[in-house]
Amino acid sequence: MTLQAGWAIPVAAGLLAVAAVVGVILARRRRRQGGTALANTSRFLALPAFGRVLRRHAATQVLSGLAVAVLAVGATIVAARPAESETITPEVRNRDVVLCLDVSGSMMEVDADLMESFQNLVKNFDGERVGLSVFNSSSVTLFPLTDDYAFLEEQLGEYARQLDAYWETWEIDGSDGGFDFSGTLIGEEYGSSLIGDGLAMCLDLFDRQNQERARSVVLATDNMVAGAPYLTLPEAAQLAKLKNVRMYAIDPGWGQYWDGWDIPSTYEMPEQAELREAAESTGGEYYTLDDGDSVRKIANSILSQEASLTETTPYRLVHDRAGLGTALAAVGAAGLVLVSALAALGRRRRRSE
Amino acid sequence: MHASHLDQVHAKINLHAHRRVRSVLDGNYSSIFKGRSMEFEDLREYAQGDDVGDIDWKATARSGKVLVRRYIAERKNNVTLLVNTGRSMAATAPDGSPKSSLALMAAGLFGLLVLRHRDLMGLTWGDQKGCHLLPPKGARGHVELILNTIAKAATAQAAPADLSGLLAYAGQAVRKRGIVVLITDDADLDPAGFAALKRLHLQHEVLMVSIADMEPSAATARSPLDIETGVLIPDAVRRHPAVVAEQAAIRARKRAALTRSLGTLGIAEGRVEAEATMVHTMIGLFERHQHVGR
Repeated sequence: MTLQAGWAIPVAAGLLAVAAVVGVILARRRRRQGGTALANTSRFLALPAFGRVLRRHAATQVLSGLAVAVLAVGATIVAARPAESETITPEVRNRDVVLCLDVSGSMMEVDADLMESFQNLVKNFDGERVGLSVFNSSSVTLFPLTDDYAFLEEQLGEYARQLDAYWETWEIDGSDGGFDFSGTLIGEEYGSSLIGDGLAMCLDLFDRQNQERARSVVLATDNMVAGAPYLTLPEAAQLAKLKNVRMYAIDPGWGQYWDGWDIPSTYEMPEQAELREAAESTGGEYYTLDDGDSVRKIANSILSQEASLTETTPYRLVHDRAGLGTALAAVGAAGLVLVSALAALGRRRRRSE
Repeated sequence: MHASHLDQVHAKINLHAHRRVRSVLDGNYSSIFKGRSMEFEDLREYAQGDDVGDIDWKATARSGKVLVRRYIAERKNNVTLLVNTGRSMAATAPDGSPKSSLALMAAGLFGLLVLRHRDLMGLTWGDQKGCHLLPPKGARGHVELILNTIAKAATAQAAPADLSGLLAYAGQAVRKRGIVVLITDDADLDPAGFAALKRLHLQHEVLMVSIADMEPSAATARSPLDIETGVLIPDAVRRHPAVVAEQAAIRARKRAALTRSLGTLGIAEGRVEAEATMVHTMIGLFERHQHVGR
């Protein structure tokens, strides 16, 4: 508990002293100049009624004085602004994460799961800005970087639901189930699943280039390229590194396809190796969807590794604690009103008698 | 230099009393000293208040106007003012003027009468610090000195009043038999003072002029304080109806008691409350003095 305006107390004391001096001077002057000087008042002063009324008067004065004193003390305390201060190290809020989802045909089966992974990932964040982009032959920004978590939750949930519905209806009748891929197939004649181009476009989502922010891309792809991209994945990774962006890769993995084959689950396809190397070349990490912990690991990595990159300035937050002073002042004011009201009531009763 | 006290008193009388009242004053005064050896001086027209016994019926018949005989006292009268000049006399009278100025005017009124009738005037005054005497003399300057002495003595810086002491002192100091005019305020007369007054009245012819005090409950009082103690009397208390009522009752009782006591002694009292009514009060005093008689 500290006083924000401690000078108010000496000022109040000074005012009190000045008032006291002025009061004494005035009283002395009044006594010297005199009001009406009266003689032989002893009879008057000895009247029983006089004593009675004088005591009541004195009590009223004393109570009023007390009330004013309490009021003044309360007002002084309020004026001195007692406050509690706390030092706050603000949450690191200068991380940007772009979720980058490959919606090419080979990925459609697992995209709903990946979208759910994104949802789970975002649940680990607090204050980080998250954007979402999907790509096939061309890239579409579903939403730009934002820290509106209600929006994120709603959007990611909706896309997960749509992707799920798409997969189910596509399996039945080949319809799109409501998921809108418009814009992801522009330039399809040059090929689809242009991973490098998709990653490069995702990198484009990072704004505020003049600010030093921790930037990460979570790229969910199987790295099955079908066409001729402008940039290969290693080239795009290089671009990411150039832009100081870490790329985390989530690979759906191929474990399911090896069932029945004589291939160990740890077998890594060349595409997977390329993806891992690309991720690691940017300082990021590579996970497969089979790894149940991948989301938590990515979240931890983003939150811990990146925290060291960001500088935060702790600041002091001051909360005024005006309760006591206000209460005292209120009690004093109420007392004053009460005493005055009682005195007025007495006068009125006397008049009516 | 101060203006003459006598001239001021004269001006005040002229201001407050019209001519008929002033002539009454003349007539009454001439009969204050009845029963003494008088020498005929002249005749003048009858004025209200003159003793009917003084009417010169033969001269009245001759002139067609009612004429009374005027006398000069054969022996000059000693008129001694006995003024209670303690601090309380500097306090305020009901009309808002200082009581001392009312006392001074009363004294001056007697002074004018004394000079007109070529009597002698003396002064006894005092407070707790002591009492003093100016022996009777007849000069105008002496009367002026007496008034000046009263004016200088009756101030707020004076010692507290001591009426009993002053009365006792006067009983010793005023030797020549004569008229004693006691000018005091509403101070209570204690038994010792009352006995002293009684003794004084056996020696002399005593008249009493009381200068009234302004009541603490008076509406005209402004933040009143006690002249002895300097203690302020709070407005909220002094104007309280219960206090006012109780005070009115006790005041009436005290007045009645004093009037009764003075009545048993045969001392006439005039109670002065204001400059404006002073002359009338004095005429009333003279009339009563005649009737309490000797």
